[in-house]
Amino acid sequence: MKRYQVVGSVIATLGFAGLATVITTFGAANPGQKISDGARVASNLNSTLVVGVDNGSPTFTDNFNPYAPSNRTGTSYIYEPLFFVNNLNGKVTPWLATSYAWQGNKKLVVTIRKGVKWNDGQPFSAKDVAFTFNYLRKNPSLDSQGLWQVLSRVTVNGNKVEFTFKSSNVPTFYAIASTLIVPEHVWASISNPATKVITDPIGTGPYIVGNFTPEQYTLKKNPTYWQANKVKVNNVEFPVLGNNQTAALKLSSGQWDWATLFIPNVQKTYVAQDPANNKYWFPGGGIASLALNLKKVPFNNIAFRQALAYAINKQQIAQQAEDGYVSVGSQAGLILPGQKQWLNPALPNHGIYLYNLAKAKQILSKAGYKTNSQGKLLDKSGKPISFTIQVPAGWSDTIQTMQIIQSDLSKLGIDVQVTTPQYASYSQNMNTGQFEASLMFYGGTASPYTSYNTLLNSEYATPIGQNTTTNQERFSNSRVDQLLNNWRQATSQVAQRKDAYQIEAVMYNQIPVISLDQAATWSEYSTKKFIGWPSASNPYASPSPWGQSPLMILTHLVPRS
Amino acid sequence: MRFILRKFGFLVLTVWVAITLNFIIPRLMPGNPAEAMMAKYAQQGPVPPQQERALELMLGLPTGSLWQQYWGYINNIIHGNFGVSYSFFPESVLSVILQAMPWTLILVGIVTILQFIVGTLLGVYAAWHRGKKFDSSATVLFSFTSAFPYFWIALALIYLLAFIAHWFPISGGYSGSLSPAFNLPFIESVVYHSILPAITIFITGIGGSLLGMRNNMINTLGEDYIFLARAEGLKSKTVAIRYAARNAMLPIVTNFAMSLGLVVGGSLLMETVFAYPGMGYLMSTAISNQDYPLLQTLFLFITISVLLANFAADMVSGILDPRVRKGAAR
Repeated sequence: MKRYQVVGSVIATLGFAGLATVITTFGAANPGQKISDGARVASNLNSTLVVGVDNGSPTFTDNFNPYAPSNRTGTSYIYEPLFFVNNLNGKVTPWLATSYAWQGNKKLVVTIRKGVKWNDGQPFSAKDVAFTFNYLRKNPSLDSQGLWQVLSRVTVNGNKVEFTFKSSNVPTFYAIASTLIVPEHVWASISNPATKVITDPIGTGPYIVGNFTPEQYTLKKNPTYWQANKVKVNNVEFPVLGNNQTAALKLSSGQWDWATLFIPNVQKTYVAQDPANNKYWFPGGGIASLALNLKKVPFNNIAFRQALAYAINKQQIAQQAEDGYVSVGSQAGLILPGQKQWLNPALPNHGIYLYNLAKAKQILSKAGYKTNSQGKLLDKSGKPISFTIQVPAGWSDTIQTMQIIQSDLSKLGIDVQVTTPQYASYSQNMNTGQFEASLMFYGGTASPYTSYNTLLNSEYATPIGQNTTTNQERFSNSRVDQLLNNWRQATSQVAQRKDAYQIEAVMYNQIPVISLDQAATWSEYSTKKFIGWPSASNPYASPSPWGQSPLMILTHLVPRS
Repeated sequence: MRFILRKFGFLVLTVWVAITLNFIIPRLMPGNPAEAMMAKYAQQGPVPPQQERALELMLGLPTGSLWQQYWGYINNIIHGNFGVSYSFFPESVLSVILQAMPWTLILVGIVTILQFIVGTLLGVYAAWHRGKKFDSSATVLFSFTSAFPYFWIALALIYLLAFIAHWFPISGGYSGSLSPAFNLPFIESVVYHSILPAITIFITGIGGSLLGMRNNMINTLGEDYIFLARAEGLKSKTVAIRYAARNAMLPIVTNFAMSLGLVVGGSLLMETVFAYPGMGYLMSTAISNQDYPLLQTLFLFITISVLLANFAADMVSGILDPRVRKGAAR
């Protein structure tokens, strides 16, 4: 009996190994013999762009309502904004509007494009634009950018729309510019917009809904689009994304032309599959930072924060935790190189605190911090300093980042614990200020003003225990408030830049948060069927297949041949 | 009769406890669904903070005391109103579940039954020929396969058979280019997409029923009545099937009923890995989106189907085995 068991397990093992060998050989011998559905579709329809972005959980529900929180990603290929704003560098391109002008700093006049039609054939006009904004006023739950906190009225004047502000707030232009415009003749009669299911969306955009199934949908070119001659991609197909592992396999096997996935070792797993065509570009989309609770000791001490900024090896974080896909974040809070026109030239190293452990120790001892016999750093009352950093559970790259920080700070004699609560409790801790240190994303907005205002405005720095969704590190500085206020009133970029430089100096010297790295926008694309993608050398749009970038990208793509 | 009533009373009580727990547990979790949605957006890039407020307004988060919420909840369940899903907003929970249910019932259901039948038969065979070639190799092989983690075998199959060999699709329930309809190309596509998921469940599940049946059967084979049956000179096959297997089946039937009840919940890991549009995948996304209404209803469906299956198993073993009935009446 003993003997048979051994034989049995040997047979089993051999069987498995044999199966694997057969499969591998088969795969290698018949590389062209793809019978999976995605590949079949891809080889037949060369004018179809297949985009792996829409998750559908687990299948798609047919809803292209621009106001529904769980609408299809394709919705943003159908509705358009007044201006296209490139979040990488703040460049503004006229879209449904042709130009804008400030009258004083409390009135914005936008000229609307002529000759644009809704995809049901009705003409688009300034009335639709004014309707859209007044519709947001009537339905505050749709006003996700908080426009009516600063606007007082929006009116039509011929082919112009006039936005009047309660108090001057020039940077709100970017929020107005990127608001999606909806047709009055459809929406005027819809009284509960968020719950309305829209299966046949009426927009001005380059695409209309073609085929829809719960596993996949197709958008087809809108023949009456106002820049139809620029749209060379006839169909855009959205298959269900699935989980990360199988999605990465589908992308690597060439079934998808465009995706936005974090893939470990993208060079080997994706680019190497087809080096001539498979490309990636991961530009910075925001800054990952370490936020310290400024209402607590010892974080309220600037010298302490400065020592931490020097002691954290940001280069190592970018290399190890983010696989070297991202670059180190500037303390100025700007995404570089895109926002370099805003960067204060007086800041050393583009505002980056280079790793310098000796300097960190020197700053600490100069500020009066001492270490005990075990090498632990002591606070002013003589107790060893120790604190906890929180990161949302499952965010593996940022968890690794915090572990690097943990080991860096142990060299200063500080004990750091890393906790990983669920996102909801992480976010609640941030809102109420019940944290010591935390991962925080900021920045990446078209105008740096928006980033600085949400990060630094003392109006939002509520006492601990009270909710705030911005300025959660609870920074307050009357000089910065004054500068932000100046910026709200400045319509010229020269004046705005003056304020920016001074705020950056405060960001650099007072360290409200410690910038770590530039969080990447993941984007992989194939040039097998289409070329003309945005890239580091031609950054005309962020390369993401969601949001408003696709409008710009799909008017740039051309077939390869 | 008293036996049935007792079991029924127990059923009602457990259903009530399940419903109540179902209400309490999600509310013990921190945060709210608007924050959970923000988490989803935040992974794509920074989000404006005003958006969270807007989302809260839109979802209409629960108001009133817990007590009021509880009565409202019971009342709605009685009327078959399970509310609106947060992650599929504005679709109703029931319609989302009814879409996912058939996929799971058909695939997981068929494979579970198949795996049970094949496993049990092989178990009978192995036990009858215990110590022979088949028994020793099968025991080792299936102890081995039943120890495989679901997701591991699923990923291995996807990688080898779908990604490298291109024999099967990588994921999904059917080809996206076809509309769901009752016609040949669609059914073909469904079957084609279900092969790998089916193999996964089959491989990982069959070991349990085979080994369970084999071990039970070997115990039974040592009983006096088997010895007697053999001594009477009955055919081996008759002794094996009619005497030994029938008795060894009893505990297995209960097990089987339980696993049939669990079929409704889908096979979470398998469905998640294959992005199969069934209940398991639905549940895993509902968890990550903190979609309370959907989660509660899913748990409710699963609990009730397990309880009903249990009840049915009790009834069946009551009929099959007089000892159960008598024990209950005492």
